[in-house]
Amino acid sequence: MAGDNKRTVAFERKGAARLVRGAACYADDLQLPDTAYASFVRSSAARAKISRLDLTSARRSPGVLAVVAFADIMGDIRPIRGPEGPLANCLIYPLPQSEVHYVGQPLAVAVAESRYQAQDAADAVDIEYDLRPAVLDPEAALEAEAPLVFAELASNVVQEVHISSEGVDKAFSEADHVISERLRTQRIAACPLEPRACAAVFDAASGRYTVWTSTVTIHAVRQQIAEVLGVKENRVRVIAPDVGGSFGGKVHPYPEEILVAYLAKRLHRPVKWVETRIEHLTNVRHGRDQIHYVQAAVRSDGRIMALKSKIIADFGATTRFINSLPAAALYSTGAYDIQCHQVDAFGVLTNKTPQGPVRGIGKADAAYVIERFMDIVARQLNLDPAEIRMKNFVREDAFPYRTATGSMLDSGRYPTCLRKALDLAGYEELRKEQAELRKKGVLRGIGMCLVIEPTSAARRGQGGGYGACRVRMEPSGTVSAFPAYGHQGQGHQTAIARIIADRLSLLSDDVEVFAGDTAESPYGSSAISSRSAVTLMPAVDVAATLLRDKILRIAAHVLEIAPGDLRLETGLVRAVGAPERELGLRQITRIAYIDTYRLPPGLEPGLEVTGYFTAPNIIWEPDERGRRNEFVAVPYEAAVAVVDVDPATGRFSTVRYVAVHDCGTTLVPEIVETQHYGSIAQGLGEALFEELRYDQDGQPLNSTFMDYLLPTVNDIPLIETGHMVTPSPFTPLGAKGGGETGTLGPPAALGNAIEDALAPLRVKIRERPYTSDRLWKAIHQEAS
Amino acid sequence: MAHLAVTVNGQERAADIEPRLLLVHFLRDELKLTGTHIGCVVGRCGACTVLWKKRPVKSCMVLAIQTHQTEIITIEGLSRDERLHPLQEAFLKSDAVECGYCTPGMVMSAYGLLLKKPNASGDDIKRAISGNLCRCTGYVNIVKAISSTLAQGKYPAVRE
Amino acid sequence: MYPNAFDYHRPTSLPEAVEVMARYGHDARPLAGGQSLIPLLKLRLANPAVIVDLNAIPELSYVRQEKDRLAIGALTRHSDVEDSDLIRARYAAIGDAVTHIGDAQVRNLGTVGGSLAHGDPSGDWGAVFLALGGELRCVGPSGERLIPAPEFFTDLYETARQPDEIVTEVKIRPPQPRSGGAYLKLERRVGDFALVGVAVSLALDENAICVDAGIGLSGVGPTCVKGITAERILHGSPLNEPAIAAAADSLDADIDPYSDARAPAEYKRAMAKVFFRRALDVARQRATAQRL
Repeated sequence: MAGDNKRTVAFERKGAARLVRGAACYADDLQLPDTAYASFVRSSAARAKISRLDLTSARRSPGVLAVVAFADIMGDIRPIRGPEGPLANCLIYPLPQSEVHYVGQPLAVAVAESRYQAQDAADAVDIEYDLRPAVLDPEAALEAEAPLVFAELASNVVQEVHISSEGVDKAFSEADHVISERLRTQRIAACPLEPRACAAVFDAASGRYTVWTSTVTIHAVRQQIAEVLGVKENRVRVIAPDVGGSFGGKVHPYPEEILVAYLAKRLHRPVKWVETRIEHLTNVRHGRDQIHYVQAAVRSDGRIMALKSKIIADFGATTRFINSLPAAALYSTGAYDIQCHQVDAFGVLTNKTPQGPVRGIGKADAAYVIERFMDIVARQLNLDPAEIRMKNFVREDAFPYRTATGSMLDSGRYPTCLRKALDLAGYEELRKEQAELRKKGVLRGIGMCLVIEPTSAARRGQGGGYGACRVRMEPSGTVSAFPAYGHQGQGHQTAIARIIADRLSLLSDDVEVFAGDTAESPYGSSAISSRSAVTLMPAVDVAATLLRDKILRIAAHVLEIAPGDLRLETGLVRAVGAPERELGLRQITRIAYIDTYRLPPGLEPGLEVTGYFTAPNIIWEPDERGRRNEFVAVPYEAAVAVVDVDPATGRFSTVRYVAVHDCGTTLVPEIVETQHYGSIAQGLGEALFEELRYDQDGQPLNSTFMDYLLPTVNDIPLIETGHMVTPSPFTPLGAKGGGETGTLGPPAALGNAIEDALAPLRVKIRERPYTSDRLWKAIHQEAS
Repeated sequence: MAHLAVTVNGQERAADIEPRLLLVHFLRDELKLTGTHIGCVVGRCGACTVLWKKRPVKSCMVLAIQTHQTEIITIEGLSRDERLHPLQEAFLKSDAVECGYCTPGMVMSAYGLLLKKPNASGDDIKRAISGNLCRCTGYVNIVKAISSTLAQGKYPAVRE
Repeated sequence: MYPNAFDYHRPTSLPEAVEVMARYGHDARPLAGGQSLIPLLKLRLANPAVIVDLNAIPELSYVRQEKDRLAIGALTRHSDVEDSDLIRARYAAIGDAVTHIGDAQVRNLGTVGGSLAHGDPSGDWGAVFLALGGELRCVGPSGERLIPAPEFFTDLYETARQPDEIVTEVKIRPPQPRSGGAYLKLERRVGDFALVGVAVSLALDENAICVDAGIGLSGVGPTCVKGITAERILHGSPLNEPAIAAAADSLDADIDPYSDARAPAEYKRAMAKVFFRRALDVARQRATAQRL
């Protein structure tokens, strides 16, 4: 049934049936006649000048249509300039002119009749490098005399955030305890299961490009292709077909997309490119990799009076703004009421893969550090980790709360959430049990965290402050919806259809969602930063409401009854209190589209509206202190983990994992729940296995799934969940967006649990992931 | 070139192919059966899983020519006419599908388990899908889906 | 991602296979399960001119008890070994090992002969083969020979098999009365290669004195290693703590782990000893529980 009875229908994820049949169409599934295949030649040096690039052999390779490097394309392309600030001096080409900055960087591209032949040709390209010592240590790289990653810049520091409250030094001088720590997050990759892929055609007659690409940001890709190829955006159409996950890895344009479009024109053929996982792990933008020096001025009762954070982020060879830096800086006080705060954050270039967003971007680093740090402080003061948190949480009556960096925490009940998680876990019992087990020599540990994960970012120069959706009622009375962006598995279609169905008294099945096509989609950011529930869905609701109002206005005019006395029911509008007075939807659409003379005077024809929702609480311009608010809503999660550590091997098992999640109003609870498990699983990967490492020459040490390990079904403990709903006051639906919060829990909760388990041995764990050899080494070093 | 004659989803298919052509590319590019996916290089993700001689295998780790005169079942072969296999229904009902990229491989691994061990346990399920990575769902609902299908007890084997 | 080009042969008999291998020598690689070879082809780390597919040779897949050997055909899939009642009943160490090889899909194709012939120092079969003892039957142009287990692994990914030989069978020494074996694997994650793997096989007399000990280790050097020094210490001992401790320490004489992506050498060395003790415990329990 439609309308108010939405919950009586068994849950169905819209669009999933074709996926389970194997009938999806991801970018590499596209069948374009006469497709040629591209294969990229990539740098095997981290820092070098290309002294020789010989394409002769490659061009003679069987089936080859073209092999191009910078020299072959430079007349046809324009560079992009870096963002304002230090990088503004950088001219960025899709293929480098002569300098190489990271292993895996695309240097040239071969196109051939088949995938196999394309790789044969790419392998036949002959390159000689004039090697330079790679810049790899971000702390060394930020020193004044460090060799420069980009010669055209004055320094390797390309982004900074400095915010300081008053009274920081005073608080430190008056502190009962000053506690310092260095914590580091490791480099990871988003690793969606579908690698990047794109295909392009160019129609010479119309001068139009069509590009299909596995992306989240169709408008940004379109803009960059247009800019680099020197055409107007309205000659470029970008379509995201089915996308097999992103997790941040597909949220901005890549040079390969531009080059595939370029080659399609140059060769008068459709061109397709699919990356291998090795290319993915060395090119999809990396995440985390921040060093935090944190120092707290602490009162003896555990109250934190002031906090200083110094953050050094390893940016790789980036040429963009990296939002993980401000995100980490702005939220380094976490869920705690610490108004006396100084943060100095530096983004530093190195000769590694450029950084970009990965699920939890920046906030994951900040949450990890503050949550581990709380436990470290608690242990030093001999306080219970729950107690110290309760003492320092932002109070439940203090919302909306502005942190010292200007960040707005919209709503939250942190003490209640932690209490709920502890109750679910049976905390007092767990401690008793731990004491008993310790007597028997079992190293049991209990760790907790409360992580905040602000969503829906918007920044000056980058946009993101609004969502948009166009909605059209067809003559049949069914609806087509065109949201600003598509989905990669988050279930947007289901939520969008449900909102529209509810407003218009339709069935979800009567709503078709068309997404991911610049020809159809309004501008309005992308599925980044868990913003769909926050800004997109309200925009859908605005559009659906406008449409409903228009339908009622038309009906009111025909029935001669005030709109307020009319009701939308399935397929018709009926008078309240006079049920025999009704008008079918098809009659209304006929008036709107055909018999427009019957419209109320002054009302335009058609039943097609675009709805917008602008986030009301973004503070775009930093004040004189650097304070601003970049995120709309703040979901959060309390997690409690219980582990047993085997000191002989350093292995640990997760006995329990309890997570209580509050992402405000949930539009489709089933979808949020499924996504929550996946979110936690990704955090488990970060805690247990995932780390991208480089050797002393900047060579990646693990660029296949043989050695970059993702969690399997065996690595997921039993996850016990609870939920709270504390709506956001800043979004009309009260939703905060639930996609990333779960990811932040495991590194913090498990880290705390492991250190708690090893507390009798006085072992400290400061590095992640928590591999057995690392734990073993820490245990045995302490013992000796 | 080598001549390959192989039965795929009950249909006899033939082609002259290079020996180096991987089975997954033969299925996707020659036969246009794009439901089988590629997620990695060294055979660690399982997205390419199909049934070969009734056993789940990673089709990116098989040369197409090896399958000469044998039988393969892909995800496309699992639904009969327009109806979904009970396993596929269960994946939908248990909300085990998000981006869908791992789904065909996951379903085929599960299907192989159903064929071999109709009374499989929870541990058997985990073993059956240990070689299938999912980045979206955290596996919880996938295990539920397979579990519930086993509990149902009857599910047709695909055409012999 | 895409192998280099090669020629392909699928012989339908052993003599034909031998002839093809002899013809091409070093330019040919035999293909059994492909689970090790095909990734190498895709990474273009192996670029043979010829691939010889052994899978059409009849009667190379079996598990059978012979008079004085367990005989496993070289093309027997790991999953078939796993399902074998005979293995489950009498060769627990083999059962332990195959259960942990890769994942279900890999086990459906990977073969015993292929695993051993690949000579992976972190392969599970190698450790078990060295612990249990036996021979590998190889067939080549000059005929057939049996290579004893301790002589088989010669260097990193190198074995005593000549380039023109084909492994046709693995022969395993049968269990003695009051014996038991076990294989324990330390892996970073399920499905991984062994960071360290230890196989221990023990036979006891009626006084619980060890009359035979076999120890095989993977992940501890350029090849799988037979812990001959530790074996000698255990032989004739009552398997008390001093003997076990001495044996564990003595592993240092035979293993030479190196640091790699999986773990530092120091950790592997320490884990070899930890897992040796644990595998020994299980082997002893199984030996004690076994009825004649």
